[in-house]
Amino acid sequence: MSDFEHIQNLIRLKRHEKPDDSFVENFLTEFHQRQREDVLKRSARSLVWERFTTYFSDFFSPKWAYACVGAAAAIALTFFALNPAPKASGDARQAIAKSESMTPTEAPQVAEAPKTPTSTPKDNFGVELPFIGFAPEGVDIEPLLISRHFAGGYGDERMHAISGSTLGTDLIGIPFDEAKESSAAAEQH
Amino acid sequence: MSEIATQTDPVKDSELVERAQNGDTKAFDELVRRYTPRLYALVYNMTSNREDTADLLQDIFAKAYRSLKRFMGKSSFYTWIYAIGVNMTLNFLKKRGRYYKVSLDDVDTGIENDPEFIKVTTSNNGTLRDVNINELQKRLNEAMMKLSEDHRTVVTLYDIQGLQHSEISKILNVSEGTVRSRLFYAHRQLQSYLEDFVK
Repeated sequence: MSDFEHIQNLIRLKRHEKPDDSFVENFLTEFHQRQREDVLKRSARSLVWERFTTYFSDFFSPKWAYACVGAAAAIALTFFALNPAPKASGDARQAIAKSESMTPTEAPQVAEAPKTPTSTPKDNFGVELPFIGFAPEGVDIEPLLISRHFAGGYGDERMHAISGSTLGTDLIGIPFDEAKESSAAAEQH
Repeated sequence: MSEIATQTDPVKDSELVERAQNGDTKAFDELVRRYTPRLYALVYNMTSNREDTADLLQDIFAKAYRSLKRFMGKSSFYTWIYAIGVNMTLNFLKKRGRYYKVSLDDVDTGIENDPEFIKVTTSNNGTLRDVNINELQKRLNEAMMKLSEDHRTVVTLYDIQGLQHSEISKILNVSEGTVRSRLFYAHRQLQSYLEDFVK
C-alpha cells in the first residue's frame, strides 16, 4: 500500500465522527421553529428583497458579466460610428462667419441680412460643414473661388496687394518682374 | 455513494422535490431528514466546529427551501444541495477567518473495528500503540484545518464522503483535472502533517 493510500484510509476514519442519533429530529424541529420566527421577525420589504436577490443570484455568473460588458461596448461603438463628429455650436458658427467675412465694412451688412440656411451643408462623407455666411449681393463669387483654388488659398488680388514684400514672387520663388523678362527673351530666341 | 444511495431509497428524490415544489412541506421534511447526516458530515469536516455546523445547516436548508421552486432538475438534487452547502460553508469560512475553536464530535464505536484504526493503533510487532481515539481524532482534525479551504473541500468530498471526481467537479463547478490536482497536493500536505501515523 502506498503512503497516499494509507493517508486516504486514515482520513477516511473521520467518517466515524457523527452527531448522536437524536440530532436529525431535533434539527428538523429547530428548522421549523426558525422558519416561523423568520417570517414573523422580518419585514415584508426584506423578504421581498431576499427573494429578489435569490432569484437573480444565478444570473450574475462571470460569463454573464462578460456578455453584458461586450454588449455595452458594441452599443457604444455603434453609436459613435453613426455620429462621428459633434455639431458646432451657434456661437462657433458666428465666429467663423465673422473671421471669414471679406472686409470689415461688409461684415455688418452680412450680419444685418437675416438670412439663415434651411439646412446645414454636408460634404460627400456626410460631415456637416461650418456655415461661413452669405456673399453680399452683386458680388460674383465664382472667380474668387477659382483664384483661391489655384493660388493655394489666396486670391490674386490680395497677392498683388502685398507684392512689394518677399511674397512678390511666383510659386517657384522667381520674382514676377524677372520671370516676365526671361520669358520675353525666350520668345525672341 | 449518492446516486446509488438515493436510488435505493423508497421514494426517489425527484418525486419528493416535485411534491415539495407543489407545496408539500412533509416532502421537504423528508429531504431534510435524508440529507442532514450527509451535509452535516460535509460542513463539520470543513469547519471542525459543532455549533457552527448546526447553524450553517439551518441556513443551508432554509436557502434550499426558498430556492426550491427554481430547481429545474437538470442535475440531481444531491448535487444541487451539496453545491449550496459547499458555497455557503466556504463563504462562512472566509468571514470567520482564522479565529475558530475546534470542537470534536462523538466518535462512532464502530471505529474500533475499522481495519485502518487497528493498523494505526497496532505497531509492527503486534502490540498496541499508545494512541487513543480522541488523540487520533484531534490530530486528524488539526491536519484538516491546516489545509486550504479548497483542498479541505475536495478531501472531505472524496476521501470522507466517497464522491467521485466527476460528481465533485459538478458540485464545485471546476474541471476533473482541477479536482485531481487539488487532491494530490492535499494528500501530500496531509502526509507531512500525519507522518508519525503513516510510518
